[in-house]
Amino acid sequence: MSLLINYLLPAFVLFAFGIVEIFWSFLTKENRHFSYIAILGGILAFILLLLNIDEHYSNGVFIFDSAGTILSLLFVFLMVVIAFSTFRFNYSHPEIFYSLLLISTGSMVLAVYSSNLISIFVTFEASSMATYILASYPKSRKTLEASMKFFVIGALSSSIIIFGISFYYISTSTFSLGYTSGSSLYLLSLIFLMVGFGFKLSLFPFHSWAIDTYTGSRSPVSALLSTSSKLMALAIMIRIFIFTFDKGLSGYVQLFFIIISIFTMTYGNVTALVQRDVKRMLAYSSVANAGYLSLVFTILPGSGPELALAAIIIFSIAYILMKGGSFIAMENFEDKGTRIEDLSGLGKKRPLLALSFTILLFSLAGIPPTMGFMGKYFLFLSLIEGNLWWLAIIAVLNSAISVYYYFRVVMYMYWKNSDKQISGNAYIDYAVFSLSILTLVLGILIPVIIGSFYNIWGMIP
Amino acid sequence: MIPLIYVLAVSLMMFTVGLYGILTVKGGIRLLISIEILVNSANLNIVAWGVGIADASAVLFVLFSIAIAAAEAAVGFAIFVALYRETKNIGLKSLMELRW
Repeated sequence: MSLLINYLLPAFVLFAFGIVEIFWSFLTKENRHFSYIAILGGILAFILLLLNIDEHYSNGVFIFDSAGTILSLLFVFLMVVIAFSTFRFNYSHPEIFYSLLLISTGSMVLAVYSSNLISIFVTFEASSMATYILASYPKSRKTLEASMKFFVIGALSSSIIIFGISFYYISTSTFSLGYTSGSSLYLLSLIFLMVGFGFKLSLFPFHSWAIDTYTGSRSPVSALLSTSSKLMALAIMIRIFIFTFDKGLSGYVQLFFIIISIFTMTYGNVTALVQRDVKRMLAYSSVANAGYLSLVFTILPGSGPELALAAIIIFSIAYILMKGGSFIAMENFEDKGTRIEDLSGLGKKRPLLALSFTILLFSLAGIPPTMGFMGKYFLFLSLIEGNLWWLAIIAVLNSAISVYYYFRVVMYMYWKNSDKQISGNAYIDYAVFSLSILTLVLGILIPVIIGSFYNIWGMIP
Repeated sequence: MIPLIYVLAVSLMMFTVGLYGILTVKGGIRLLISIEILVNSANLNIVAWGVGIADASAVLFVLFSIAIAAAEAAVGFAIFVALYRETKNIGLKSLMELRW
């Protein structure tokens, strides 16, 4: 089974269905047809990805390992859920939305497998450009402003990435990952790459676009931007930075990431406390979660990165389920306003949605039987194993702050009343419900299957 | 043959000009021009080093990078045109709706 085409096929299926969407628009303009095609393509790609979950194969351009396959499965799963939840979308040109959804997911699937700066750059840019346009769908003043800010910062970050790649090339004379050099130019290239990909991951000084874009664009698109696109940048950064440690540079790189992750966590959580708009609160909490995600780079230089690399996959699963689910749930309030008062009395009006949203918020806060707790538990455990217990204490304190603003939303849903009608439809409810059930089931299952998450990243030096 | 350090100096100057442009301009079109200058400064770096060590992958990368920069400019213009139709303005300072 170690043929290159077997590994590339899932992404190619997604691209092919993306092109089919465009041609299907000559036959009909009804939204549900395009939704069906996207779901079909997603399921096909999901099955093809499942077939090579245990396979390892690498050449100079791509490295196909289980970690990449698990992340790709998550991206494709979230795409199917988004396509399902937008079943009743009623805007012009639905083919563009679903086609770009498929194409951006396909590029993300290729991006997490890339092991060469050329393929990383091309796939990263392909998915970025698809998401610039996705952020502006359906066209309105608000979404266009979100898309514009996203584009300006994205273009800036991509030019910083190319500049970092040029320094990498000058100091190592190759575009392949895994070559290091002790020169200061190499360190400079790492800083450039960290800043460039840090924009996409919305780390602290580079986060401001993320708040406006997640708030301004339509909620299913925010679900894609704040989860898949971020985890893609995280996977690329892990593949780049896993080699930079134990080569004399580990001190500098680790120090950078310690400072940045502390600032990102604290800033995201403290600013989220004062937000009255739930979507904006979720955007700030996704900045805080980027801080938790970037904790993995502080542990990598430690003695045993295996637990950290397993923990980041578990945290990614948790993150994509709970953050994607809560953004999709916000689609119900898109027309009538997303302020916290607009959620009052949701427990009486839409019990299923309120229950699943509550489970997702509990998971984001890190309450035990859910997946979010498991992700945080293993991540903080690996911090303690890497002798960074003081960083673990800061992270736990941050997690404690975050409980306040998640529970305020739950309180408004169940203890406040209002006569305001809530729009939305049953498809969104079912999508959010399925994600919340998965959060619970996987949270109980993870301690049993934790062993299978070890040693799944290829190319460990 | 021009020494590499001169090429690096030129590309660093171009990078500074592009970064200054991105941080200060108020119009959308000038912003795209600044981004183009930034991308080309990095391309110059890569091509100069690739010629120096006789490596073909540098040229390959620069071809990809030019194609991607062109696609990025196309996407940018599409967004700016749509924004202009909506607001009759592509000044970056006028985009202040999304604030708390």
